[in-house]
Parts: sequence; C-alpha cells; structure tokens
Amino acid sequence: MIFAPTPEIQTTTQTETGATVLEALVFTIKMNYFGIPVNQIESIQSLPEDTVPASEEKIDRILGFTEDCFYLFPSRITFKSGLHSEYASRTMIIDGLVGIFEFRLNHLLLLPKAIESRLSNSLIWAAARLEEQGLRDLVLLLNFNRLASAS
Amino acid sequence: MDASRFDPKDLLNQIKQRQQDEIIDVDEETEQLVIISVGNDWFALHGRYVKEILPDMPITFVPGLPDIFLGLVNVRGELESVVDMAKILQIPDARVNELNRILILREENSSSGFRVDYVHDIIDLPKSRIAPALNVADTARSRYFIGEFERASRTVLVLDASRLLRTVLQDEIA
Repeated sequence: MIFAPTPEIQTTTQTETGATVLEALVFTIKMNYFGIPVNQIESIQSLPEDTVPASEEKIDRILGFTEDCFYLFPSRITFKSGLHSEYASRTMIIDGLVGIFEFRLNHLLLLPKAIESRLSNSLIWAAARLEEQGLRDLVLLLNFNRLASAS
Repeated sequence: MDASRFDPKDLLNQIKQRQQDEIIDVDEETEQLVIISVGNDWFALHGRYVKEILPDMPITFVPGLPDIFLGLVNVRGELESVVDMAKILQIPDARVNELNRILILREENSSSGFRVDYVHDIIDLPKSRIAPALNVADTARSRYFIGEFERASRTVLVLDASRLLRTVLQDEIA
C-alpha cells in the first residue's frame, strides 16, 4: 500500500495578517511531540486517567513505535468523515494533550532526504518548532489525509 | 620527583626523536582529517566531507525509522537526520555523554549527522602516512575502512564518508 498526500482537503487557514498557518492539535507520546491538523479532527473526548479500553486503536502503533507506550492521560479523537483516506470517521487514542497551536507554513521544517525516503509510508511529513511557546522540542506533524492508493 | 632517576641525556634524546617524528616535507601533499572515537576505537574522516561539528544537542526521535537513526536535529532552521556511528560500525560500547559530538557529513546534495563519542583533533597529515587498511578483519563494517595511520601509539582507521552517507540514504543496507 502506498500513501500519497491529497491536497483536496484544505489543511490551512489564513490569519488576519494574511499569513497562512496550520492549526494543529499537539500531544505527546513517550516525551515526543506530534501534531494533527485540527481540521482533520471531528471531536476530542477525554478518557479517565490511565484507562484505555483494549479494543481501542492507539496512535503509537500507527506511528511505528515498537515498544509499548503507557497512556496516562488518554483522549479519544474522531477523524472527520470527509478525509480521503482509511482514517475517515475512525477513532484513535492519543495521550498527553498539550494544546492547539498555529504554525506558519513558511516556518515549517521539511524532513531531510535521508529520513523522508524512509518515511514514504508514514503519516509524518514535516516538523515545526515550538520555541515561541517556550519549548525547544520539535513537533512532528502528521497528516491523516494521506490516501491509500495503488502506485 | 626522584632526581636520581632523571637523566637529562635520555630526555634530550626523547625530544630529538619526537622532533624527527614530527618533521614533514612541506611540499608533500597533505590530507585534512578529523579524528574521532567511538567506544575504544579511533577513526578519521576526511575534512572535506565534514561540514560542521555540533555539540551534543537534543535529538528528536522519529518513530518508524531503522535503529541506526537517532532522529532529527534543527541546525539553524534546517533539519538534519542523525545516525548513530556506533550502530553503523557495530561498536557495542559507545559512550553517551556531554562529550558526544554530531558531525554533519556532506557530499553533493546528500548530508546527515553522525553522532560520535568524541572529537580528538583535526590534523593535516601527509598522504604518504596513510596506508591501506590491511590489518582489519573482513567484517561487515570493514567496507567503511579505506586507510589507516598511526597516531599517539594508536591505529586510526580512515572512514569512507561517501559510503557512510550512502548507507544513511538507503542506497546501501547498513
């Protein structure tokens, strides 16, 4: 299965100053920051602390973490039905919600060739800095609107 | 210090010997080399491939990558991949501490960071001092060795930076 980006669904908005920004829901898994475009998410629901039903799909598996992740502050997100990918309307468990942040598109950092070539089937497509929020870490940006298609 | 054991003649001879060792033909072509260590082994990289030497800095882990990858670093607004030189060279006893350095290697349009234990020195060595890497066991890692020389009573293996980069860029399997 090969994933390809689909530009059909708008993932950006414009600020009052005209800058194009990506609004992303930032969360942490194993001390690593990830961001999902807000306009790919239908709803977010907090779950009781340290409680993840076994039947739920956890995001660490999708992202390729090989070791088990412990979800202390889990939330259930539901993706929009309009996504042009297998994730449309699906629910997924994430952990450690940080908040919603705006990232200017021209400030996003493209993945280096060595990593991009190894992540052709991954949801990770770019990174962004959280320095303005006082964090030195990078946020790895995800796109759940990557279409499963035949090459 | 025990004065009876101090022999000025010996000392003088040692100094003369050292000076002779250091004398080089100024017309001889030299090679700039960055000397590093990983675990207990010393290696060298040709300076023309080393774009930058960065201090130990936070590396962002990226899930789903082969285990030679440590992740990403942000170098003045540009992302660079970082791989673990110890994993590539199959050295189990690498030291992770604040003395670690990230060498950014570059060739044409390819670049990547390589984390090493320590950067010892940057030297200009006459090319004649670099011998073929013959005294190395034929293992998977030996394909990265393109020469060797003696330094501070140690054998320093010269690494093939171009091949290291090809491994990172998936043109070759690590």
